[in-house]
Amino acid sequence: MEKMTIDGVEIQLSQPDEVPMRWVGREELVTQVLAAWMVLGEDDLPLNPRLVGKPGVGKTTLAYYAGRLLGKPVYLFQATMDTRPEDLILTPVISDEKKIKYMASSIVSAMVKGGIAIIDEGNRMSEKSWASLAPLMDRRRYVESVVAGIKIKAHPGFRLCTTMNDDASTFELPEYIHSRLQPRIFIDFPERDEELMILRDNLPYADRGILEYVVDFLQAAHGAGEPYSVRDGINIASYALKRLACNGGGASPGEQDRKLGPYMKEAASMILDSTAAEYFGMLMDEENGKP
Amino acid sequence: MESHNFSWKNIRFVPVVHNRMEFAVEVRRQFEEFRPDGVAVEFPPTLKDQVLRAVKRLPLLSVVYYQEGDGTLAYLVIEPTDGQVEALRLALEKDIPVHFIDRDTEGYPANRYSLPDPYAVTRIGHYAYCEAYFRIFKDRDPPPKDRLREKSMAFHLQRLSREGRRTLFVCGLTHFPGVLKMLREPQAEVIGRRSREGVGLAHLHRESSREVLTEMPFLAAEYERFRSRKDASSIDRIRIQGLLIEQARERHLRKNREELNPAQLKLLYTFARKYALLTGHLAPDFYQLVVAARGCADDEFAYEVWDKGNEYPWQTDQPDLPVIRLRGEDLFLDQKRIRFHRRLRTLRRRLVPLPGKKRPRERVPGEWKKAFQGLYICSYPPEDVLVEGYGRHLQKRALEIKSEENSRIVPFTCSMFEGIDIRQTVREWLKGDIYVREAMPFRGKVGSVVVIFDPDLPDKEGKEAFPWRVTWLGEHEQESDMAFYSTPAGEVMDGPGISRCQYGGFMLTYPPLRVYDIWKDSFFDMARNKPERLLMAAIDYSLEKHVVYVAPDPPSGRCRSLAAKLGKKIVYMPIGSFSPVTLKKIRVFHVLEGHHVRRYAGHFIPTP
Repeated sequence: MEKMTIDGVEIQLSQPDEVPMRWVGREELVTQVLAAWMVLGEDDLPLNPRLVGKPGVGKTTLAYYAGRLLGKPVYLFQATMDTRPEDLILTPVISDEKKIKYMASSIVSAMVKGGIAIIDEGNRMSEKSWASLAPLMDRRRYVESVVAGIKIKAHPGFRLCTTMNDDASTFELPEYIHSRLQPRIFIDFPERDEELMILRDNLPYADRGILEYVVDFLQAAHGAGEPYSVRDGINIASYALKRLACNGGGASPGEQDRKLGPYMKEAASMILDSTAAEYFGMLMDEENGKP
Repeated sequence: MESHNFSWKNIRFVPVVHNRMEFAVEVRRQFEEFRPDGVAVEFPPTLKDQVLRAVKRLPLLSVVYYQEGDGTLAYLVIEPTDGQVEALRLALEKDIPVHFIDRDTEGYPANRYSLPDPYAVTRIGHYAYCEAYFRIFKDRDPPPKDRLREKSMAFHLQRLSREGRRTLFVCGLTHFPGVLKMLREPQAEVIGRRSREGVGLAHLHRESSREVLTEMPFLAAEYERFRSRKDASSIDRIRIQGLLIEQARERHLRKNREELNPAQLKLLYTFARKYALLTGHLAPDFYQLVVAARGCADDEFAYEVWDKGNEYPWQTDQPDLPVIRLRGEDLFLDQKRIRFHRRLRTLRRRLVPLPGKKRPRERVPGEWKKAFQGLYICSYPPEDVLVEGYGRHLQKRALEIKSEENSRIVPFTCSMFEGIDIRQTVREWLKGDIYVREAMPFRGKVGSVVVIFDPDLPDKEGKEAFPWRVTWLGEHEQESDMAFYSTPAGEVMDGPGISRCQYGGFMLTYPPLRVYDIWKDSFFDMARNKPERLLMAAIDYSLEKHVVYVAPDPPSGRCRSLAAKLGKKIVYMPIGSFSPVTLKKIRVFHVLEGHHVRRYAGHFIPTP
């Protein structure tokens, strides 16, 4: 584990994240994130974009992908309701020799290494926790660890962004935090062709017909204002394909097609709800020419 | 001013990027400088009559259309910001001959050349811009169809030159090197179509103008104004974008009572500029501007920018020609979608050139406003639920704050209470003690809730932004009584009998059916302003000890002493400590003209 000494205090850094997340389609959203992080001169500061959208639209994937495009180490921090200010900065732990060791959070590790910090689901974190990051998000560009009694300055290459769900199940962030988390980049549900591309990328082994069913379902759901996302679509298709592999692996293509319908319906019911399953059934009946 | 130009004998070349304003401006400048005897343009003679008719109709927008041999419909939108169109307009104004010298070509491929941002012309000049292009592409081998077109144009230019006319030739930048090369040798006339049947002219529908114009309609309109002013010397894209933002900002303030602060504006321009730079442009395009507006303010403001940016005031609804509706796909335009998640209605609209999904509109502007009487008014129930829920949330927050104030950190003795306080324990590590957090119970409950978004103190002339004062009684036992001041009903309409209003402040008190109209109740006449009156009413009607007061400023001493007299306590929470997003959602509400409107209001108001 990498160590670093700041103002005489030794801190242990965490490792960047290496995850197989790939953003497909909608390049303009990637450009928007990169534009927010862009710095035009010595006096310029990067912005701290807030990626907002319904669950499952790919907010974290977008942030991670954009970070990787810059060729920097990317650190993901999962925010929760229990996240306390010190969790975001330095956490004191007791070592074997009964001494205090300071563990740097992903955010501080990104700060000192000049990486990208992504605070995932930032709206779940309380105002108190966000307040400890306030100086990091303005001209000061540092955080203060009360437990270690030090100030940690951010590397010029450091970039920050947060993802937030567009729902009511979250803490309320006051104006002074909101104004620092700008701009807001809104991630909407993808268009049909983009949704199909995403599904194909995530399920390369799936038959195109199955993906078409799922996309039809998702597009109808988006149109009706239902919150079902492409992530749900991937899960439905993936589960149905696994069921088919277990119980119809050796069957003829026609037989497989016949079995797939009920499996899709079952998957929709388990992953979403009975209404979704019913709609899936209707969609497949329609496709098969049943009244 | 620029001294360089492109000439061949008595022909002056003005290469342009089609439909871009900076090049139209350059055409004007060179026309003035050169004072030609005639103008030649890169349009085929087969379209001459209709193109000239369309140019004469400007600023009304027209489309020249015809059918190709394979049945494909071809459309040519005549835009005021096009260099060729500008040249034709100038020629018609000066009454000099115009020459249409291109070859009529069918099945022409949709070429997409990547060119530097035309805005560069305003900084480095037209000559340097074209020179740079010429340097790179002078040896380009054009496709066969382009070669024939360029040959044809070169032939006609040689003919015009022989006739001794000083001709201003406006052509596309991509053809400029080819034509120049062809001029070195004598050219023969290229065989091609000399006439075309069925070329028509139509008026472009207002809705389509926002979709198919290359430049945003607001910019095209500003260009129109620029060219009609005798004293105007320059026009700048970025300045026009600033004007657009300023006008959208004013409209946003008028319609939504929200003012963009300087920090938001600075952020908007910074983000838009960086976004443009990353896409290889010097100035943001309309799409980028709207995205930046949304990113730095909200969907409402972005919508105003989009709506204002789509304004082209001359597009009449009763034209003298058949009307044509075009979509971006018809012209093979590259489009992006944007969806506005507005409080009044979710729209799915595209941006430049982005079409929009239909939303209910008035048949005649002002129709809904005129019909709104405001005699039998009621609220919109989903919004009642929302505001009621927010009131409960505020009561809970007040309790949390009070409880937190009551907690203390003590050394661990016999109980862990609420758990170890790690900060204090580490701070006192050398002593070896462990510290725990003890929460003391909070006594008393929270009753009435007051939220003040804007104190709305009258200005010197006594004008108020939120003059409408109402007291509403709960409709059932789950609903509180409410008193509020807001923008007047009937001012902004979202549908027939549906008026959109905005709270300046409100008070909720439970249980319902107890409150006499607080705005008329003389007991509260000691209040000096609307927030004080609401708070005094909240104190008086609260059945519990604590009254929540959320406002930009703390409660006045007068209110505090009234609370003390009545044995109540005001729990003040600054409004800045609440999410601006949630506050915006709460603040807007709808007033319906009668209960029957509730049946269809959902079509016009999205679920809050």
